[in-house]
Formats: sequence, C-alpha cells, structure tokens
Amino acid sequence: MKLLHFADLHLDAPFAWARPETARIRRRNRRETLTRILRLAVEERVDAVLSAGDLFEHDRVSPDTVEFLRASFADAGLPVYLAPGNHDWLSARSPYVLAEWSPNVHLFTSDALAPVTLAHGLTLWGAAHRAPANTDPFFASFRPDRGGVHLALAHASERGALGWQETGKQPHAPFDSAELEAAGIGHAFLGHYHVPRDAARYTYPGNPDPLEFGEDGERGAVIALVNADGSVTRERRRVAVSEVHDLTVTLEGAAHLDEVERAVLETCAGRSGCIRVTLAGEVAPSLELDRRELARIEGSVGDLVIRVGSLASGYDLAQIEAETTVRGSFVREAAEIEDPELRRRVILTGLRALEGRRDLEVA
Amino acid sequence: MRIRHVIARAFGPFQDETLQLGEGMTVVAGPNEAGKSSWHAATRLAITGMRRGRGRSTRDDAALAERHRPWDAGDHWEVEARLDLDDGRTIDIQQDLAGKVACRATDIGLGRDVSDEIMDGTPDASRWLGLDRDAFAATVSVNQADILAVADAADGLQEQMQRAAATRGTDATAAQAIERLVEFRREAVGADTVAAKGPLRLARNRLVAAMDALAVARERHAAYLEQSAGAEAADLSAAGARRDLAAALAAQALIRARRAAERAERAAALAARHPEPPSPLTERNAAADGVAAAITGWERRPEPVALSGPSSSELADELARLPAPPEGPLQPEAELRALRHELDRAEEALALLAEEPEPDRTPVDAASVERMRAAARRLSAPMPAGAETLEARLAAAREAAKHASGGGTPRLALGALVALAGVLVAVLLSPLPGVILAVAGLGLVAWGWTSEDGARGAARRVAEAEAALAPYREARMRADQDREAAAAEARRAGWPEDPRALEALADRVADAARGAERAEARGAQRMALEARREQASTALLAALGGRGIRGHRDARSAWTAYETVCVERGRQAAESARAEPLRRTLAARESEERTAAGVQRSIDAAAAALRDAAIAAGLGVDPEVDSDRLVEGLRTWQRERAAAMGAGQAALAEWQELVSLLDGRSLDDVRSEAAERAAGAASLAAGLDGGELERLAVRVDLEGHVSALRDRADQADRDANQRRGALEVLRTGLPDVAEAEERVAIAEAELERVNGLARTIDQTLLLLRSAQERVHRDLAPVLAQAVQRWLPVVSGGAYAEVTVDPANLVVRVKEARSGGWREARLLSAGTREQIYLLLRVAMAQHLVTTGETAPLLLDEVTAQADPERRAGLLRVLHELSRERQVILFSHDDAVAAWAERSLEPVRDRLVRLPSRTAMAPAQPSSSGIGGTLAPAPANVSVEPVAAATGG
Repeated sequence: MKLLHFADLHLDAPFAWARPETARIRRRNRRETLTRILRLAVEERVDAVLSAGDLFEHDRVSPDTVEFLRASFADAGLPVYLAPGNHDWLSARSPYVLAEWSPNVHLFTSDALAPVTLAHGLTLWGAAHRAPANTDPFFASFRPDRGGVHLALAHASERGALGWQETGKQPHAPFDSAELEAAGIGHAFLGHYHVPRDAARYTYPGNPDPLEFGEDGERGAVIALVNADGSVTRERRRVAVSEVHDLTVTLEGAAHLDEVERAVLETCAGRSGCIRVTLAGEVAPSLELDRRELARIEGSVGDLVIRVGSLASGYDLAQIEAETTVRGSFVREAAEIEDPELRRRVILTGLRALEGRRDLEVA
Repeated sequence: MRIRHVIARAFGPFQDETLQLGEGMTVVAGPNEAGKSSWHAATRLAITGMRRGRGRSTRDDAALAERHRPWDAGDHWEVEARLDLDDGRTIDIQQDLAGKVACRATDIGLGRDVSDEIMDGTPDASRWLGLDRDAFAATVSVNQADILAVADAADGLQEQMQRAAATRGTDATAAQAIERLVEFRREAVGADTVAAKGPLRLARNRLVAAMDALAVARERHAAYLEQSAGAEAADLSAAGARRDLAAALAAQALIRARRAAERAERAAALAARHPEPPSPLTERNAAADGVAAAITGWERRPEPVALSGPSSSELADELARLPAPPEGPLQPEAELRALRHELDRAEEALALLAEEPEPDRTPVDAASVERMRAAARRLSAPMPAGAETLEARLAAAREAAKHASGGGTPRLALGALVALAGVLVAVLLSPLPGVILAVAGLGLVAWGWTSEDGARGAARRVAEAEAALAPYREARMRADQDREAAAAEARRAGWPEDPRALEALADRVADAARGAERAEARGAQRMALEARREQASTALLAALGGRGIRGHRDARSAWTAYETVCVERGRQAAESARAEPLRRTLAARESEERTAAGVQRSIDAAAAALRDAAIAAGLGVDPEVDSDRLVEGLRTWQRERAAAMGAGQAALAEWQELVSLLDGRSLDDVRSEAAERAAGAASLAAGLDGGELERLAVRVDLEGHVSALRDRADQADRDANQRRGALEVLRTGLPDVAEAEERVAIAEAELERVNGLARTIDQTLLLLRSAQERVHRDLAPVLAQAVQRWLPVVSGGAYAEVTVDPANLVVRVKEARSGGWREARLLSAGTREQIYLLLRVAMAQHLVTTGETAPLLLDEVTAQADPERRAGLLRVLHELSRERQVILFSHDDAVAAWAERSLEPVRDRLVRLPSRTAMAPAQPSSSGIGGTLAPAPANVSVEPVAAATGG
C-alpha cells in the first residue's frame, strides 16, 4: 500500500518577525504547499493521504482556510486521514467538527487509538488530541485486537528526540520507541517535531513549508510504501513553496553604508523568498549604521530581514581604555557591563557621543 | 621623546632637506612661504605617518595631501625623522606618505625594525607616547587657532581643557557629549507619561492598541467558532426536525394511500354489486312513525313520584289545631328573679350561720396570755455558749497542774541537803565523792526547781482558764436563776413548766378570748339576716301580686305559682311557633302532590299513546296488558317491518356509499388516485424506517402531530438560517488573528527597541557622567599644579595661587594683593594665553601614558600677540623647554630676535628659513646661539643628508 504522509503544516500561523505583507505571502504559500502535497498524492497514485496533526492553528484559523481545506480534500478524491494535534486539537468548536468534510475524509476523533481498515490485514490506528496540552500517551497501554499489520497515525513526542529537536517543544502524548514494538505497531506516521526523522519504526516528515529561519534537513512529504510484511520504505519529496535563506554577511572594515549595502546585496543576489542576513565582522568606527539605514536596505530587497550579529566597531578599545581621558575611563567602566549586547551598545553610544556624532542609536 | 631632526625627502617644496632641532627649544623662523607650515606638517607626519586605508578623518588626510604633497616629486611623498626616546633608544622612522607601504621604524642602536611596536596601518610613533595620530595632533601640536580661541573666547580655556580631558582634544567635551545624549534621548525616546508624545509613549500606546486589537480578534474568532458550532447544531436540529416531519408526512401519506386503496377497492366492490341505482325508497309509514313515537314517548316517560309523609290535608288539620301565641313573658322576669335571689341569699346566709358551732363564751383573762408567753421564753432561753471550750481548757490545765505539782519542793529540799552534804564531804573527807555528791545534789535542786517551775506554770494556766471561764459561769448562773423563777411562776399558776406546752396553752387561751367575741358578733349577724329575709319576701310577694299571683301565704309558694304560669306560656308559645314551618311543609307537600299528579298524567298519556299506536298498527290491545308488554309488542312489530324494508335500504345505502366514494369520478379515476397516493407514499417513505412509519400511522393525533412537526421544522429552519446569517455577519470583517498577533509582535519589538535604546542611553549617561567626574577630579590637581608652578612668573607676581574646579575644569587664580579669587577667563588675554600653554603642557603630559615626555610643536602661536604677550609666551615656552622639547614655528622677526637673544647654546636652536620665492631650493640655516648668526647666503641650503643623519 502506498501512502503519502505529511504533518505540521500550521496553516494560518503567524510570522512575528515578518512585515505584514510578507506574513500574508507566507501564509498563502502554506496553502499552496498543501495543494502541492495533494497533487503529489494524485500523481503518485497513493492509496491514502495521512495528516499527522497541526494541520492548522485552532486559535487563528480563518473560515476561508477551513473552506479551502474542505474543498482541497474533496477535490483530491483520495482517502484522507486526519489525526488532530495539539495546535488543531479536537473540540466541539473545532473546524474539524464544524466543517462538512467530503466522504473521502476520515477524521480520528478519539484520544485512544481507533482502527480503520486500509486493506485486508492492514489496519491504520489513529488518535486525536482533544485538548491543547496534557494529552496522555497513545501507545503505552495499547494492544491491537486483531491480527495483520498495524500502522499508526498520531501527533506524538518521541522522548528520545526531545534533546535535539528545536527548543521550546513540550512532550505532548510522549512515548518511547520501544512502546511501538510492544504495542504491535509496525510503523507510526507521526507529527509534532518539525525536524524530520526517519527511524526504524516511525517517521517525522518535518514541517513541509518553512516556519522559521534556520530550518534545515529534508523536510516535506513522505511517500511511504508499506510492504506485506509491515516494513516501510520511504522517499522524501520537497513540497515547500516558501524559500527561506539564513545568511551571514561578514563585513571587513566597512567604512560607509554603500559598502554594507553592497555586501548585503551581493550575498542576496540570485536568491528568492525570505532572506535573513546577519551582519558580522568588523566595521570602521566611522560607519553610521543605524536601524533606519538597515530598514532602508531591507526595503531594497523583497523579503529581507537584517539583524546585527557579532559586529565589532573597529575601535581600538584596548588603546582607548589606556587613555587617561573621560573616554578612556568611560570605556573602562563600560567594559564591566555583564550583558555583552548592552555593553557593546553603551560603548559605541558613548564613543559616538564623544565624537560629536548624531547616529547615537547603535544598530 | 625628542625629535633630533626631520628629513623631508619629498615633502611640499622640500627635496631631501633636513631640519635639525635642538633638544630644548627650537625656533624655526622665516618669512611667509618659507616653508614653516610645511616643516611643521613634515615634523608631525614624520612621527605619525598617514592613516592607511579607511579612517574617520579622510577629509583631513586629503587636505594634508593636497597641501603638502611634493610639488615636483611625482608619486613620491616621503619624510623621515630621528627620535630620541626617553627609554634611551634612538629610532629612525621613515614614512611613505604616498603608498604607505615603505614605512619603517628602526632602532638604530640594535639595528632592528621596531615598526610592529607602533604599527597602526603605518608606523605611528605617537604610540610611544600612548597617543594616536589624532590625539598627537590635538595634544602635542598647538597652533594659532588654539591660541586665538583662548585669547578671544572667555570660555575657550575651559572648553579646550574639557575637550582634552574628554577625548584628548580630538572630539567633543564630555559635557557636550552628555548634552547631545540627553537631547537625543528626548527625541528618540521621550517621556513615558500619559500625555507624552515621544517614541516611547507612542510605542507603548501602539502596543496597547495592538494588544486590544488582538484581544478583539481572538474574541471574535472564538465567537465565530462558537457561532459556527451553534449554527452547526441548529442545522442538525433543523435536519432532525425535517426528518421527523418527513417521517410524519410519509406516515400521513401512507394512511391516505391506504385509505384511497380501501376506497377504490370498496367502490369497485359496490360497483360490481350495483351496476344500476336501486329502486326508490318507500315513503315513510305514519303508523310506524306513530309506533316509534309512542315507544319513544313511553321510554322517555317520567318516573312516577312516590310521596311519603303526611298528606296536605293532614298537615292542614294539624295546622288548625295549633294554639295562638301566648301573651306575657315566657320566663320569670329579671326583676322578680332578682327579688327571689335576694330572698334566697338571705335564707342561705341564715342557714350557714346556723350551721356554725357556738363559740365558747367562757370569760378569759387575755393578760394571762402574755405572762404565759413570757414564762415560756424564760424557760426556753438558751444558755451562754462558748463555755465548753473554756471548760475543756480548764480541765486540761488542772490535769497538767496535778501532774506538775508532784515532788517539786521535796526535790528542792533534798537536793539542797545533798549538795550541802557533798560540800561537807569534799571539804572534810574526800574531794571526789564530795564533788559527786554535790553535783548530784545540785542536780536534784535543778530537778526540783524545774518541777516547781512547771508546777507554777501549770497553776498559772489553771488560774488563767478559770479567769476566762468565770464570766461564762456567772452568766450561766444568772440564766439558771431566771429559769428557776419562771418555773416557779408556772407552778404557782398551774401552768406546765415545759416551755412548748406553756406556749400552746397561751395560744389556746388567746383563741378562747377570740371565740367570745365571735359569738357576740354572730348574734348580731343573725338578726340582720332575718330582717333581710323578711324584707325580700315582702317585696317578692308584692311584685308577684302585681302580676296576678295572689292568694299565697308565702313568697315561695307565690313564686312557684308564678313559675308555673311562665312554663305554661312557654309551652303555648312553642306550639304556636310550629305554625310557620308547618305551613311551609304544607305548601311543599301540596306542590309535590301536584307534580306527582302531573307525572302521572304524563305516564298515563304515554300509556294511552302506546295503546293508540298499537291500535293504529293493527295490533289488538288488551286493557289488562301493562304498558311495558305493550311496548314489547310494538317493537316486535317494528322489527318485522324493518326486516321487510332492510334489503331495500341496504342497497340504497350501498348505492349512496358508492356515489359518495366516486364523488363524480369514474372508478378508474378512483383507482388511479389510489395508485398515485400509493406511489407518493412510497416516495416519501424512501429511506425512512418502516417501523417508525407504522408507529406514526397508528397515532390518533397524527394530523396534529404533523402540524406540530411542521411548526417545529419551520422554527428550526428559521433558527438555523438566523444563525447562518449571523455567522456570515461575523465572518464578514472577521479580523485575522495571525495578523493581529504579528502587529502585536511588531509593536512589542518597537517598544523593546525604544526601551533598549533608553536603557543604553541611560547607562551611557551614567557612565559618562561618572567618568567625567572621575577624570576631572584626577586631572584638576594636575592642572592646578602645572599652572601653580609658573603662575607667579607668567603673571609677574600678580597671582600666586591657582585652583582648577574638578566639576568643570574652570581655572581660578588668587590675586596676590587682594587675596580674591578670579576665574582665569576673566584675566587678560596674554595671561590667559600663558596659562593655556601651561595647561596644554600639563594636559599633554597627563594624556601621555607611557612615561615618555611629549614634545610641543607650536605654529605661529604669537602671531596675534602684542610684544608684551609675546614676550610672556616666549618666556614660558623657554622655561617649558627645560623639561620637554619645544619647537616653535614663527614668521615673526621679533620672535627670531628674541631667539637670538634668549636661546641657550647647544640645547636650543634657532633655524632661519630663507624665503622660497626664488626658484632654487633653499636650505634653512640654524644657529645654536641666540643672537649670533652665521652669515647666511641668499639661498640657504640644508645640511647635507649624511651630516644630518649623523648629527
């Protein structure tokens, strides 16, 4: 049996770091990503599409998105299995309940694994999160009541993966890998962790369209071929519409804004989508780089975000500290500031003020 | 650090020319365009070199390049210098000012490249002073503008000191920096008050607005989901109601279809039996009608009325016999009863009085009662108490005295004798036995004394006890005497001696006295009661006589007769009172009798009608047969007749039924209708539970149920539509929660930015102010000391002391004559200039952090000074040159003249630069001794390079 597995699409999620128009574009891209996923499913002639949760954000989903989902699944014409996660948990007011899904859509509604027969001897066990948190484990005490090959579709946290997943992830419906084998589950198609992972008995496809900068790995949809003996062979397909680039521009002694802008533009050249540029290196003390200038440079490229990383100013602070002047004393005192970022800003602000400069807001 | 010489390889107008400098003061004099400024720049650039690559003062560098690039040397622009450091090293430094590549600093002594020690792009020898290029220019080099700033501006001195203290003179003062930051904070952050309109308050307001909008968005989103759920539920409810209605309508259609089928089937059956209408019905039979009416009349006859009780005639007779109401009272009148009551009371009182026993009339002496009582009191008077304890004490004391009194005196006597004997034995015979005997005797004496003492004590206690007891005894004796006297009196009077008995006797005597009194009173009372009785009897008789009761001897018999009359009247009245109810009873009875008569007439008429009907129907009427049997006979007649007509009517009924079923249509039409209804019912029943339809079909109130379901379904539809409509309204303009969250994030970021900027500025201000205060505090005494040393000299003794305010580096001097303090800025320009130079030197040395002594380069600092000020300045500079190298560039001949006069040989030097208006390069000439010049050619050439380098 051939299945297409995806998870964590997070339709209607916000993009706090982006400009409003960019955020809207990214949200539209997510819809297009779903369209690609379903198109891929049709092209690959899969037997079913599995969505392992966090398909949308309950607290933000718009009526238009719900209608989009309904129409998309209906148009696909394939069996679609939905297992609600912690962001799209199932409640009486959930769009899952309120939408009039087409007959090819099957929604898992119980917080205990419930069976659906995919084929003779092949059962798909699915479960739903019915609350945004504190969902009990699905697999620990589960035992199938029939024979054959058993697959699982759920939004769950493999405990061993918490360490290397992105920070801030909470263990919803936690489980250990060994529990799958004990539960008789041949393979679990999961969601929740955004970092893709292909383990022996489970698969995290990763979020199919980028949510944050720095998301690496082969994320997307997974075409899974379930063999008669229950083994699964997987092939990852990229389906993302959004392009996201996280780049670093190292400035070496840039003395004026044109150099900075030129370096940024050269780095961004040939790339599309959202780009985050981190400025690093060293610039001349005379460089008047403030947020308005950064905003101006950002505006010259489509979706560009510039942030200042470890950017040194080029002042010879050691020499200045050795002065017996107010400047020297000031720098010596400022060097005692514990917060490195505050320390940097205070030193540059003071030095600029002593130089009589007007660009006193340090970027 | 001292600059030994400078070689201008290719610098401005110079090609391979050398300027030798003295270790003390060097005056480089020459007319305009002689190259003084070029030598000044060459000297500075030989030490610092040019900034390589990007830098802040590119404009300054460009101006330098434009002004001092070699006129003729093409791409080369080079300068060198030899430096003598205070640490003993001699450094040759070459500066490639054009390419900035072939720059090098060489330790002559070690022959080693020491460029790395001072590399800042290119070697910068000012680093040996702890300075940089900009600081060197600002600190070591003093130019005309600096002097003019001090001379012309009163605050110029302070401002330059502050600038130097803040940034080594390269940039702003700390106060200016602080002011700039304060102003920037006001513009870029602003106040955080409610009415403020600065960026911080705006950011905060924006965040509040964004959060409010987000709250609204979330609220509306939740409301939308809630409304969606409600609409969904309403849809489900409406669908349920429609389904229920459909089921009910299907059941209704089923019933109708079945009925239609039944009608069609019935019509078909009737049509088959009656292809033609049956024959007309027989007219109504009058006899049959009569019989039916008679039977009906008999069945509806009233029930006969059974009367009970006396008849109306009996009642009338009884009524006639009732007596008329009596006249007069029926009960004894109250007045007479009162009289009778008075008589009764009088007689009762007399009777009671008669029943009382006669009191004792024995005369009694009342006074004796008191004597008896007194005697009884005396006899029962209590004895004095408290003696028992004293008696016991006395007994004990006597017992003790008895025991104590035994043998005391004899012991004394015996003891005395023994003691005396003992003395005699001891004296006359043997001492030891005599002593023993004497001791024994003394012992006996002591024992006897003790006994006597004890006896005396016991006797004393006995006496004390007797004395205490004596009053009690006396009282007791008196009581005994009194008691005895009372007893004697009682005996004499014949009274009992027992006080209780005597008291009782006294009571009896007192009662007896009271009895005599009562007897007398009783007699009087009897007489009064008898008079009263007589009076009451007389009054009663008189009253009864007034009512016709006469001829009786006594009131009681008269009263009895009166009562009898009243009773008789009462009886009569009771009898006459029965007349009215009896009349009503009589009237009711007469009415019942009339009703019964009417009912009977109806019954008789019904019976007569039966007989008439029977006769009309041809039946024989037996007068003996009662009506019920007659009815039976008539019914039998009816049945027989109906049976005969039955067949015809049934056919007629069926034909009527057929006509009704067809209702103007053909049988095929009826069948078609039934088929259509069946099809319609089947269609409506499609998909429905057949069992449910059957259950609905048997409902008696199905029509009402359908109506109720229809209403319910309509209401559910309206509700669902309303909710859907409300949902659409909510959906329209539903804010995007994600966008609202993003706006909040943007507002938060902006607020964080402004807050971060505020924190940064505040911290910067704090540290700057602290640094300013600290540095000024450290610097003020240094500056003051530097000026203090030379103040009397430069001021000609006018000022003796100087202070520098650590807060703002304001210099104050104390006038020697008045002792008053004045700010230096208020002094004369000349004095200010000199003080400024002193301060510049002090500041320069303060800023040099490496231990080296910084030279002083001065360019045309006396240009605007009058001779006096010039002389003062030159004097100070010359004095300063004792501690550091001073190089003065001046076009002023007077300065050159002063140099010739004042400079010292060897350590000082005067260099006269020739005019460069001639085309040929000219060399400076120098003199080591002031005032003695070697003959200078018209074109003075510099010392040969080799000589210069070896100098």
